Amino acid sequence: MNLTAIAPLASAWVGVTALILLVSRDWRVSMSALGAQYVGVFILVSLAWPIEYAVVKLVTGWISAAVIGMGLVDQALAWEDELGRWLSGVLFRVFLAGFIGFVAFVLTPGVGRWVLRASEVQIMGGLLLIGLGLVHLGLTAQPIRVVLGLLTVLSGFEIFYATMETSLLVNAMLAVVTLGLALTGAYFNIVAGTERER
Amino acid sequence: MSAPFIWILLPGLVAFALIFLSRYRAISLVAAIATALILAVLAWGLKVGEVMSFGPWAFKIQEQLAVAGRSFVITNPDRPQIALLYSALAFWYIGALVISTPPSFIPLGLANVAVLIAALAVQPILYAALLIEVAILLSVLMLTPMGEPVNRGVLRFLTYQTLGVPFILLAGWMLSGIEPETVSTQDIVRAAIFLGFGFAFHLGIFPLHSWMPMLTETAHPYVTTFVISTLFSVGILFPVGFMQRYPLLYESINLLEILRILGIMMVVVGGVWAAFQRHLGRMLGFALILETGRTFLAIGLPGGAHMLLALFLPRILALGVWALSLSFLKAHSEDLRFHVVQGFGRRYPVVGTGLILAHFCLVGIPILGGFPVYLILWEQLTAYGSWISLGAILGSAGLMVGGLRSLAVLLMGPEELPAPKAGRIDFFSYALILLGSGAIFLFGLFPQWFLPSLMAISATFGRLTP
Repeated sequence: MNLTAIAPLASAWVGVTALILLVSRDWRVSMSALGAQYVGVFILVSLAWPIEYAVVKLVTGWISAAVIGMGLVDQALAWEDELGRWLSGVLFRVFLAGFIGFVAFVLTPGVGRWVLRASEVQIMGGLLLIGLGLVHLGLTAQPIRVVLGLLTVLSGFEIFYATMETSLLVNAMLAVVTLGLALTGAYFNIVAGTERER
Repeated sequence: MSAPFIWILLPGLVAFALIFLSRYRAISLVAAIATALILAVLAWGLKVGEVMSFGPWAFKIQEQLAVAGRSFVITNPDRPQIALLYSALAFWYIGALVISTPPSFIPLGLANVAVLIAALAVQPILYAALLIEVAILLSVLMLTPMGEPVNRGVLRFLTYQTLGVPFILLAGWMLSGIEPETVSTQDIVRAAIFLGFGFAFHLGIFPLHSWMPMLTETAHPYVTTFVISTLFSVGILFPVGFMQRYPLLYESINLLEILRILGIMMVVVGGVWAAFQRHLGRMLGFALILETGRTFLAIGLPGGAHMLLALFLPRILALGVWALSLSFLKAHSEDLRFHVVQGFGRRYPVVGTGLILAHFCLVGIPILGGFPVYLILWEQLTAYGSWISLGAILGSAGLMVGGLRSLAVLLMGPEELPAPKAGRIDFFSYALILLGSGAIFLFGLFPQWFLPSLMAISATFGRLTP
């Protein structure tokens, strides 16, 4: 299966999902966006890897979203709305996301000279995820959102890294790290719940 | 049987078993201490790759363990590091006998050290970053006990450590394709830049150090100090090993000078900031930053890596006593802000004495453990200009001001202190703090008993001799 034709869409898709993660007030929307984000990551990684290997990213990502989501089902209060009542918080984040999109667009040719085997859409997608993940990390103090930000940054890096390193073991260990972060996020939910009960 | 099996897999299995014993804290703690001590003794005594006879039996410990096409390799020069790490673990566990730590500290502490040794042993180095990240995730679980809010220090720690991983992976990828004999300066500099960023995040190098005081302010002081000192003890070996493998770095970018500049920045930042702290936990955090800087200064000297073990012993003694004393204070007060702990040195004189002694040991006050080693370090630094010596002394002076302020806070305050939060401190706890304080004095008064052998052991470290 050749996914090259839809790769530009995947690049835009990961940007949109990362933006949704950034502005979402509802944890269900965020978990859905995280799951959807990994579809885009899978398509971009599959440009460098055989599908059967790239699908590991998709499965890992979905399991991660499920693990964090399951943690939130019982502890929905662990998810706090950081955006406030007004639209200004959302607008500010959208503006930042636009800025990151612009920076990613400008940087893509330059990064392409370093990461020789990566195509432009892969670089664009990777930079968008890293940038928006860093913005997410910079704007939040909420444990689960920190984990979401880290997962977003790591996803972006994994797109680049897939074009450089084809070792299955390295990528399996990256999957372990992704799952470990998701489990840590779920643990944070439980800890927050027990703290409230106390 | 192979060396990685003994020092990585076996403790990993014991750690897993200890999870099920978490309800019986005393039993699991004693088992963990015994395991750490046995592994340390084995690391000192067992020779890897040589036939050893034991009564009628003869056996050979293999150096290598292959897993999924990659290998974990532990050779004889690596054994002192492993012995050191497990001895340090036993030391931290012994302290945990007298203070309350989260139940996860016991199994995850052992697992943490095993994973970090795996990171040291794995080949190619590329995989080390991912194993370090696994150790970080285990540390996060230790630092976030059930029933307590997830604190911002832990989140900052997790964030910075995780952001460092991609840099180390990229550096590892660059290095995996080049051989030391044929490598070009451009390749090595590029890899060094990525590795530098990775370890700047990982070791909290200025200006990426903010997680350290945040962590010591908010999380359990004893567990935090264990986590930072263990990660640091292993983390510092990677840049040193890198220097050893690629000597071209000395010629092309003058790495030693860069390390000295980084070191002096951290010493000054740690010391000067410590002078202005109003929280005993944050004070410890800045002392840790200063110690990181001192270690960089040491490895920035030609042959200075030989001092690492000499620096290690007074540091771990002082940090252990400091963290133990802080844990008692935290258990008996609302928190560790100066205005809250005013006068606590009068109520708990042994705890207060231990805390101040440990603090001044890291300052480098004469007759305490840090002084003989720091004196050698300061003497050697004078060869690189007065500014660097002045910076090192300024850092220590700043930490001393912080120590004097802590002393004043612990002694002064109202006549009537608020009711203690917890019960009395038992005799065994006092005895442990006094023992640690005595060891600090002993190391300071009779350095000739320890220093020559510590320097000699450092010289045998496989990864520590650039």
